[in-house]
Amino acid sequence: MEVKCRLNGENIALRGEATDRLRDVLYHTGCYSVRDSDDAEGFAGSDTIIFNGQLKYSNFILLYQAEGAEIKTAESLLEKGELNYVQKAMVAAGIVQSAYNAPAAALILTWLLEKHPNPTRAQIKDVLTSIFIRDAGYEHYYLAVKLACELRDEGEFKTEIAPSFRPQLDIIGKPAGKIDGAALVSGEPVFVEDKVPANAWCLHVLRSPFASAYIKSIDTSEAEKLDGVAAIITAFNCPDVYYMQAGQGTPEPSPHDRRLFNMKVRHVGDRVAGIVARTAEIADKAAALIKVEYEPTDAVFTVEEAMAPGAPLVHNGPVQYNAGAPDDLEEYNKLQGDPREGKVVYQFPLHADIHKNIAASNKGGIGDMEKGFAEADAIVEQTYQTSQIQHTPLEPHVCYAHVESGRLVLNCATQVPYHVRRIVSWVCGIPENKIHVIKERVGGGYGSKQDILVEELTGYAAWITKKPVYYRNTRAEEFYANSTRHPMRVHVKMGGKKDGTITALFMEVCANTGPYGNHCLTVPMNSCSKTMPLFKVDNMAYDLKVYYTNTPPAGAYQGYGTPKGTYGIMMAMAELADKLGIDYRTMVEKNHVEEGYMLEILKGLGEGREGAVVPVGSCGLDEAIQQGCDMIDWGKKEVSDDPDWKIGKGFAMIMQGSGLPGLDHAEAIAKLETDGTVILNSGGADLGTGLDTISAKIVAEVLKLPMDRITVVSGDTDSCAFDTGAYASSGTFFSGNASLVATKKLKELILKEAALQLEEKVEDLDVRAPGEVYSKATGATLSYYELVHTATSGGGRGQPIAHGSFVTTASSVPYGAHFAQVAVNVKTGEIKVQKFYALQDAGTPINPEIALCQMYGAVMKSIGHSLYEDMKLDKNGKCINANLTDYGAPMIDEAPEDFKSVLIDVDDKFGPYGAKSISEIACNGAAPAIGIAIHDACGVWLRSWPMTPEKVLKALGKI
Amino acid sequence: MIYHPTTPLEAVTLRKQNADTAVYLAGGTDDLRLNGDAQGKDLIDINALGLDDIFVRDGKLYIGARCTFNQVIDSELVPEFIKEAAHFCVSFTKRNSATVGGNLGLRRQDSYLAAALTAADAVLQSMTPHGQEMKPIGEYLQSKCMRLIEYVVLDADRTGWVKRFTNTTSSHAAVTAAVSGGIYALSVSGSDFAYGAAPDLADSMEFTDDISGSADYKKYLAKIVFTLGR
Repeated sequence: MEVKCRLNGENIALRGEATDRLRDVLYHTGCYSVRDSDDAEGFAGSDTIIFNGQLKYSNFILLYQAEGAEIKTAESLLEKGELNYVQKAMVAAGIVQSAYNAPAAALILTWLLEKHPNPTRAQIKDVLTSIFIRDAGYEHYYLAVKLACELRDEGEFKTEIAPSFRPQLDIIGKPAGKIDGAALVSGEPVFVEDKVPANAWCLHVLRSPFASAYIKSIDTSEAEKLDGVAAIITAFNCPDVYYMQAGQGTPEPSPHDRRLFNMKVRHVGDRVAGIVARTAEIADKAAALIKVEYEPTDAVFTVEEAMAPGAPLVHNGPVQYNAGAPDDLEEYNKLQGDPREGKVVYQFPLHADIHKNIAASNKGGIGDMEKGFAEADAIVEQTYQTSQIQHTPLEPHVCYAHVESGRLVLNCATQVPYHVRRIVSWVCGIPENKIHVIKERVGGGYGSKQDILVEELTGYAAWITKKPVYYRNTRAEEFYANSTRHPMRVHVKMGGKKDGTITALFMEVCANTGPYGNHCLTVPMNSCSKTMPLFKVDNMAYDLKVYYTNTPPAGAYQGYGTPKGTYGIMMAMAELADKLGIDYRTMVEKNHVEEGYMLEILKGLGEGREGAVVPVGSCGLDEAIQQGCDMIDWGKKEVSDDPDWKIGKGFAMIMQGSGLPGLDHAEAIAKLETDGTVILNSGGADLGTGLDTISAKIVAEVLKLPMDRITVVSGDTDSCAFDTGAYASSGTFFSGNASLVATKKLKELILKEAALQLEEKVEDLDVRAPGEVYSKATGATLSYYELVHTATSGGGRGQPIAHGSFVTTASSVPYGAHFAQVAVNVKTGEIKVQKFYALQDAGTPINPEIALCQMYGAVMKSIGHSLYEDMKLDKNGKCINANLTDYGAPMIDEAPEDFKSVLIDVDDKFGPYGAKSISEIACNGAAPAIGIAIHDACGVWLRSWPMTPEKVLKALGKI
Repeated sequence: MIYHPTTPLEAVTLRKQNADTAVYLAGGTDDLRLNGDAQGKDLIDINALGLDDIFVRDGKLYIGARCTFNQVIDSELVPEFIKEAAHFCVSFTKRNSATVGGNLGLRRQDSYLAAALTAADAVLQSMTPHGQEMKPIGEYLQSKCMRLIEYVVLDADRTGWVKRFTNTTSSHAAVTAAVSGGIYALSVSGSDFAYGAAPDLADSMEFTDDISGSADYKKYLAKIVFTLGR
């Protein structure tokens, strides 16, 4: 049907079926800002429009209902091609990050300001209930509204957006916006889904209804007869290539324990068949015609079940080693079971034992544990349990692949373009030069897009069919067929003296990796390696085991294993302080490391190798603790007017890393273009966190160029050089340093060329704003344009191009402390986070406003994990709350009433301009801070997250 | 198929004629939602029927079935505890579409409004194939009749309070309770809807485990909720 309406001020006819969702019609009409994060769940708000003057979710409007309507989308906000005042304020405030729904948020706030030119905080909060923000939190949205009002009324921003750092630098450490902010907030077609042509074919995955079953047979003959079915890929016709989906440097510390499709399905939602069809409708029909005969087997869902004697085995095939095979491997492999199990290939030993469901294990330590515990006046020994958590990026996992000129081209939303290329190369059996991976803007990753969860299948489907193929996870698939945070059981034994000195610390970690071993060693290792080095304790040890189970898969998630280890270790310290009768703050101050402390524990925390013992580098931990204690008035007991509500305080010290020294690798290429501008090709993968802006600022700082004369091209495997990717908090430190190396080299080339052109000595020359070389000796100047023009004219010496490569063994560790004040209702169990203060040392925050927002966003995720979020499985292993509403994703109402992020000013000698990582660490503090505060409020220790009202009531003996 | 009735009688007659194959469509926030009731069904679009006003007549407050939650919240006529219940639908944008009639018509155990309006002793002015009828809301919620709600009618000066227990504010409720004028109402996820003149409603209810919480948790809340007061 044809519907006449007014769209963004223009009379227009929309076409489609009467019952088409208006969201879909608008998007395909070119309104790219109208997105869909939740498959019409009515939760995320990415589909928000103004419909006849009211904010509406366009998924809840059918096309026929738009007849005669006045419709506005975020595309209407641009004023003569420029951002409107709200959009400018949003970019300035730092909230435009992964930005999948930033255009919708801009539309909402613009609508608000038209109705209420000077809205109250309550009015702002009320309209923001409509939209799910996962990346930047909500706090700077209030700031954005304030800035928008200032820009509208006074023509400029008056309020300080964020603190500035390093006055001697021009742009590093200053809030200066985000170079892709305008494109993102205006709704430009910058995401993978926007690159998909109308003729793309659909990839649909038929998934297992069983948690564990052999596939006896698959009959695809009827489905293949359907017109519009190009291929059906199953375990019986897919490449016999074993790999893993973790985006890690090779050789990976994860077992190669899967193929594209396996003869044994290992979780509800596991792949059974991939159908390439002309339309989704045809794919659905084909899926219904596929006859699969399963042979169900017993399954295990918890580490306790997995470790039980005689437990069903998740993997029971032959084992291979590419290095370090044990002498008894042949004997070991005699135990293998059904041939349909497939095999497990280790790149090097992970101390696994698949016949006990152990995917990996490790242990180590320093000192004398027995002696340490013997010296203690009190010992606490407790177990802390964490649940299975989903990343819920606004943009689900998505990939578009096609074949062009004999090469496979993949448009990806990934944190690891080069790992995608490598794994697609393995699976498809084609060399990497025949594969082009283009990282588009990423609508939220948080670690889940470190894994190659959809790209290898989509790429293979396109390669064998030569069709353009598009795949996108449903929101439900994001839960049960994706990756999640490893559930862990962290057992902590800690001994201490009456004066608060910790004498011994032991951690036993049991992690649930699900059916495949993505990150199975490294995530659990982080629960120890990013917590124990916080302590000045002579006797420390850990023992970890990771178990295969038949739950939905686990993988990388922002913070990696650290949030879980931090939860256990800080809660245990608080319990020990309580037992010893001393103030928790005193105990923290007595035992935390400071700059220069030699970290002997690192020796035992190497992942498969002995770690290097190094001293603590730059460290703002103590300042974070002191300042946070002052802010929250530590030691002062707050009392509610309502006797049912009890108030308590808690805090946790935290740390992370800045990439993986000795493993990570980043490269960049800086080019002086023929008009004197610069294009930097960075291998780094900006996933919305502002990495490209960091690179641009580095170029601007080194070459004294205005930001608008710098372009960053990143994550394109054809035009950029290798980078391990954006994970493990490596972006700023590794990719940023590579940009710095490349730009410094470019500066050297510029000065060398200028010396020749000016006939002066290199040492007499320097660069200055706005992009020119000047002579300190003669005062002569040469603009970059003049320089490069001469260099590239006939007889010139060529375009100045520099390549930078960065590797290091140096470690720049961010530290911090997170504080919570909670109120607990002892009658109902309800918990309110009244205050949350996140104080972090990020070295030099290159983008301070963006950094603050990442802290807010990560803390919100962490509050979600601590109090609300939980994937619930039924007895058959099926996730029964696979949507955002039932899962418990936190919205603005869950944000703390008083919420502050504070950047502790510490300079670091290894990071680019002193920068360290910022966002992952911010996931680590909420659970212990809130847990300790709950105890302070009502006297109960909640030793499992999420810490729910029901658990409070149970702990209080009410139920 | 989309039907476009122009009168309530026409709408309810269509509904009766297509009992298994059609649903009413008003705001669409539940019908058109992921896996909503409209999936695979014909639609009886009632948006041309009016029924979207709020007024007081003879001391009674009339809330049109097609009034959105935000209309309820913005009205100066609606008692505060009913507005509070409408606020249980947290999303501002969703409240621009979600309708009073739609929320009641679904008879969900985590209904935003059912407990509050039942405690308010509200009556539904509704259209049946036999003509207009008044039906107490509590009876309606416990029936399966397909009448079309036209107005929710209650005393204009009604006072009371509501309380809702959820995981996040956006989650479906485990327990929703309301008290007004000596009437107690209780919606419990996984259990029946109950109301009466005494606060001991939980004693006669069955409780089950579900994603909103364990049976013990919900039973405990159902027992203590009326002791909480505002």
